[in-house]
Amino acid sequence: MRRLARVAEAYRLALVCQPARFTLELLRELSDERAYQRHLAAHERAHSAEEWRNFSDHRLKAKYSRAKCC
Amino acid sequence: MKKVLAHLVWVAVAIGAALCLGAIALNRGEHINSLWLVAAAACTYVLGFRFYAKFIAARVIMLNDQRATPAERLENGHDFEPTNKWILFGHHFAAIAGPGPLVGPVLAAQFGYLPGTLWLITGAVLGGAVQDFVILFASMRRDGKSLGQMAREEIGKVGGFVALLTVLLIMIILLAVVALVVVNALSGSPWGTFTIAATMPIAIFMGLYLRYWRPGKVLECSLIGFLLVLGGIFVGQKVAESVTWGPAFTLSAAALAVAVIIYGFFASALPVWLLLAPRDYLSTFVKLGVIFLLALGIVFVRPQLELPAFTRFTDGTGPIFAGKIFPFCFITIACGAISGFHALISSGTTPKMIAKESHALPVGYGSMLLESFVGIMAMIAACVMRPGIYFAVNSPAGIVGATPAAAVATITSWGFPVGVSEMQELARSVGEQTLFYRAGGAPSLALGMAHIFARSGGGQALIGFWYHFAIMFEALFILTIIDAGTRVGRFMLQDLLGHVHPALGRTSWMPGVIATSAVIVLAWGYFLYQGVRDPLGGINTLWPLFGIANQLLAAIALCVATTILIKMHRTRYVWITALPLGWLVIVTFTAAWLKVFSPVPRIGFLAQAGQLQAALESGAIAATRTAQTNTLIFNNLLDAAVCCVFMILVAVILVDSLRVWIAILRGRRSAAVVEAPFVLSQLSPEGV
Repeated sequence: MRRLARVAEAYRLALVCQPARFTLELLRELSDERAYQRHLAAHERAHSAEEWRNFSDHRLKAKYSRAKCC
Repeated sequence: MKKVLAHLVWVAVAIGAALCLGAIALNRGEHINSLWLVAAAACTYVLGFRFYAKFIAARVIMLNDQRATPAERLENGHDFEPTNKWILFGHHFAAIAGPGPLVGPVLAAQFGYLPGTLWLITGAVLGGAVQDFVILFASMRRDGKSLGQMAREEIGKVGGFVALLTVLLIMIILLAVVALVVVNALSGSPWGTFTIAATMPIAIFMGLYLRYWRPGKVLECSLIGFLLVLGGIFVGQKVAESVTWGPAFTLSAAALAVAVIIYGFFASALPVWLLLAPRDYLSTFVKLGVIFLLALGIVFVRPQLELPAFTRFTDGTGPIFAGKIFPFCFITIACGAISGFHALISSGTTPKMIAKESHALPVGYGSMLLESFVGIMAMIAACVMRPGIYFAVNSPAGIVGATPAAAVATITSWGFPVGVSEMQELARSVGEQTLFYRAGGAPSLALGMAHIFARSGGGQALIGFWYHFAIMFEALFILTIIDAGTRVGRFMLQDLLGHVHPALGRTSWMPGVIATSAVIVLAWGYFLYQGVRDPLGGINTLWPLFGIANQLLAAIALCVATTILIKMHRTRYVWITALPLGWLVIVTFTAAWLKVFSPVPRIGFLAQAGQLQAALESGAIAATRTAQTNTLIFNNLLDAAVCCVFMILVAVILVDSLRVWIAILRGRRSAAVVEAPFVLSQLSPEGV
């Protein structure tokens, strides 16, 4: 019985946690936060206001030189 | 045993799809539940994905996970980055989902729910998703090259140049039409106007917050922005009720058009981080959230469709736009079924982020199916309204009569009863002064969404909030498209002018930036203003023009896709792209021909210009309106010229493609594809 409860708990966690984790990951990707982390890791730099501005300027320039969909 | 069970499941899904499609197609005289549409679409999409898309992936383009993608080979931490397929699916879907799949089905509902629904489902499964998938694959095999670059390399220099020019022209029409949707939604609406005006200082605050106060905290900043926008909707109600502030935010369509034009100019010239980028982040999150909520709302409320399967307007006499089901239903619904603009996204960021070739299947094909499902939801939101209300909201005064009494009399005479007091009560409940003549699709979509949301939670007391929330949601990402589109148009123009005078091509040269921004803004601004002054409501003219342009761009994308399939020696499967291409060519050229040469003045630009000219010469038009009539005549001739230019440009690329196909098939030209070299992938599926 206890084992059954543990399995049910695991399923419930998977049902709630996985979509929540996926949503959060998607939001981080869409908000460019993940891309910024990758940028810091790739260039072995620490986060700073100046670093964010450099990254953001480069990324936004590329992003808004392409057409947005209708 | 498992295999037999899987076969049984797919047989059950196929039977389910057939039953649901049969139910919505054959039902007459009774209201059907919206879940029939949802189930028919879902079953067909699942079948299309499982069998058709997988067939294309395995037999036609032969996706190969052993081959390293550009994201793996060229990984740089910026543009090229192997990304989890479901994250990329969300990313790609957020990029392709715009106002098109929401507004198009609402307008096409004037034919009834059936024609638009069937086109949304079949168009996406057999055309739109195939186009997105094959172009994504082609770009992925070419290190993420754009559609224009692929057209130049695979078809020829003429094809590449024509593709670039077509995109620029389409962008101008697109910006005008989406701006018109916002203007028509906000005209005479102080609540809506205040809410949208409030998003601008909120976006600037977000820009400063991200730049100086909390750099990099985009999610935190967007959450604050979202709460402020919700606050703006609540304050908007008070502003609308205020004797002092209410009139200040009650603007005519012409005044709003001028405001949007001025705004477009400044937004395109301002630094992107200040206004455009923060609002884009916010609008992306709101867009995804609202689409998810709408899907939940429809499943939870299960509303009945009040519009019939077919209306009397299949004969081409519709009040919202003139023209018969064929070809006008197929160009009115563009983005939800097949959209050329998606080819620009599929050959933009997405191919640079695909980790494994097989991921192109859910990302390219699957995202388009979800976009089509958004179109189905918009169709449901439009059809849950009583037909009389739907036509009263969407019909222009020039068709139904200039007073509410005349409008309800006309609409009731069509067999769709509606009363003035009923419309007044509805307008009062959503905090509007009137809901008559709100052409453009956005207000009726907002009404439908508000109806579904209110029944899901909050009841009728909150319907005004939900209505303005929906208007805010539509306007938010339309304004983002206007900002970004003007900027992109400026870059394209600078790119072209740079060949004439090098300084004009430099994006850092301020006089060049101002001049090219002004040219692009004036170009779409002219069409917007023309739409606002049009007695038939503007949408009648501009939406078909936009639909034709968008579908012609899809024809260009399918020309490129077909050329690539032929060069890959997949000629026996060329029908996969050639059939949708053939259909699009027939539909768009018929529609464009009718828009220019139809003898019916409500359809044909030349006929309308001729009718106005004849009225002017016979003295039937008062002297005070002579100048306005001359402008209308000029506008019709201009629209006819634009339509002809579109047809000529696409005919050029079509002929150029045919020349290449015939030369390859007859062996006069080598069939070498311009792909990046094969490199064995080192990336394990678990590593993504």
